[in-house]
Amino acid sequence: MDVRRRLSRWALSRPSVLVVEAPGARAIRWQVEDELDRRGWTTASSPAGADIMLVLGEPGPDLGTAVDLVWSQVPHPGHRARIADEGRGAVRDLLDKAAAALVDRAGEKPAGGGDPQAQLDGDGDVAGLPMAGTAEDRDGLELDSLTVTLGPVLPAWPTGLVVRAAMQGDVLSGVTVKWLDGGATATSGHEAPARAAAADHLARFLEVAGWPVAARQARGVRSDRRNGGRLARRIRRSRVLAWSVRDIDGVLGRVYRWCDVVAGRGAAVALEPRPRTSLDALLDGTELAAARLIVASLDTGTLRDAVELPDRYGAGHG
Amino acid sequence: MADAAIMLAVGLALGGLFAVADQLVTAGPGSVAEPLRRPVRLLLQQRRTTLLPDTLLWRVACVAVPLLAFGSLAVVPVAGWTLLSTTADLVWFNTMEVLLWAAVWLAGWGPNAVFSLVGGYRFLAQGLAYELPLMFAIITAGLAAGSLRAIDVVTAQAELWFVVTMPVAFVLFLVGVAAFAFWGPFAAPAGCDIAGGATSELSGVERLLVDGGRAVFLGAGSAMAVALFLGGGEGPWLPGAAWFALKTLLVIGTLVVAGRSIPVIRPDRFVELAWVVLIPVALLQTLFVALLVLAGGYG
Repeated sequence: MDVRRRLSRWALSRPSVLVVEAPGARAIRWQVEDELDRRGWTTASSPAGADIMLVLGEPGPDLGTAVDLVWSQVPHPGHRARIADEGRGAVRDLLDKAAAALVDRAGEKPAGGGDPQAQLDGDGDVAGLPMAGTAEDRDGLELDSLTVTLGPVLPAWPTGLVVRAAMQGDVLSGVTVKWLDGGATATSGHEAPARAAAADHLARFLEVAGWPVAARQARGVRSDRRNGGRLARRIRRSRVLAWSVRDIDGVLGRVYRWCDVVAGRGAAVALEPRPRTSLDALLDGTELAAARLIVASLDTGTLRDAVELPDRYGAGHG
Repeated sequence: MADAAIMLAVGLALGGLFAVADQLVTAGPGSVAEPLRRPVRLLLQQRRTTLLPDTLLWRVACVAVPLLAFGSLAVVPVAGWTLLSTTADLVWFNTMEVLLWAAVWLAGWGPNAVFSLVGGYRFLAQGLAYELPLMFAIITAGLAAGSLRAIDVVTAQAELWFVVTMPVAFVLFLVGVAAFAFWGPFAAPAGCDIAGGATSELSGVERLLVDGGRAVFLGAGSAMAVALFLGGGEGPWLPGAAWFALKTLLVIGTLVVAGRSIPVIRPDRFVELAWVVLIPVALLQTLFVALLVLAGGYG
């Protein structure tokens, strides 16, 4: 048994962590992400791939419900932990304890509650779920239509934002957006230097854009371990990035503005133009990948304004 | 039986090498043990299920990914040795990778989850982009060798490595390898924006099978690139096996460094690039080699 325990301690010494950030916990997330990078622990992009679920800050009632649902999807031996205080020592302590708890859990038998069919409720067509129907798409073709929800817990996603839409193929329509728990955002109560905030935005955008190496570099810039100018040059010079996202409204311009801030040119807030369109109109008719990139390219303040803006262009915008 | 065990070991070694190189580039030298550690971690993890999954097809798909990876490795001449040697090795290699379309799509379909399904469909869209250039790249090597037997393709390069006369096919082959394993710039089917896509609902042994299978595919593909374009174990002074290992390491290293230096290429952009640029270029490459064959350029 001792061999088994040692083996599991070794195997679980670098667990995969699903980070769920509650409003106002941005400072903690920065410290947690830095520590994860330093230790070489990976971040999970879905609950199924996670060993540890780490909740940062104090989730409100709505987000709390979502967090419980996500936790129910983390497979055994999964460990759940919460941290509400900043401080490098606290973060290190928490991760050490979480890894140790995980080893203990791995020695236990899994609890029988892992069957998702047990959570069924609602009165949809099949087992409480609505069936995908068909509807006319943007070109007037009759296609399958599926109702999808983006958020509130997704990798590199603004905390508390929930986007609901009908999806045909991968095109979103009938988009509605809302903030959970009255709209407290990640940055509430956290003043950070413009450069660090811009680096953080870049890091999250680069994760969504599928460039993990550059995202890691951006996190290094955020904590002053890496050179911001070099990161900005790398992003601006990437023809693949420009070619891949240039057809998506305004994304590249906003990313380049963050690059300027990171490189020490230009002030962040003054350069950010207020959105002309509400977020639901902005996302209506876009593909899923494009919608994710658009959201990732807006800073939290702009995003808030965009959600609150009345839809001036109506549903036909796109 | 012994041969199959050797192939299994070679496949795991190649997949492991690729995974180590990938870790070095993405997470730094501290994480080189991760390709050993992660499988154990996944074996300790419970298999998770989802709401109303298509269990049979989902499980079949997850097992199929590593089976197809080893299936493709079976015809790859590793230091002059292959498990299978048929008159149509190149077609066999291509078939394994075409069957992967079904496996990945089913892996996306199985769990009855939105992001997973989107990932499965992204893989099909990506397939429309990489498949034809990859086929032309493979067939160009066969054309020059006058044989579809992988060993014959290696032997035909005794005078001149094929990469010299078909550099475009070599690059397209490597692009194809990265694309069918949906890795690096072609990882959109497992993208972070859709929470891991086709792999988002995988846990425990299923995740190990799929991610392990992808790594073996990448390793086997790199070895195949050496066999088809870099003369296999050809080289002075050192024994063939050493040359083969060196060249494979070089291909893996190049693939990882190049692949990790760019962001994900969205499948819709990739399809555009493939049909407007890559397929015409691949056809020109094949035409060029065909003319060389007619002129007696390959002896």
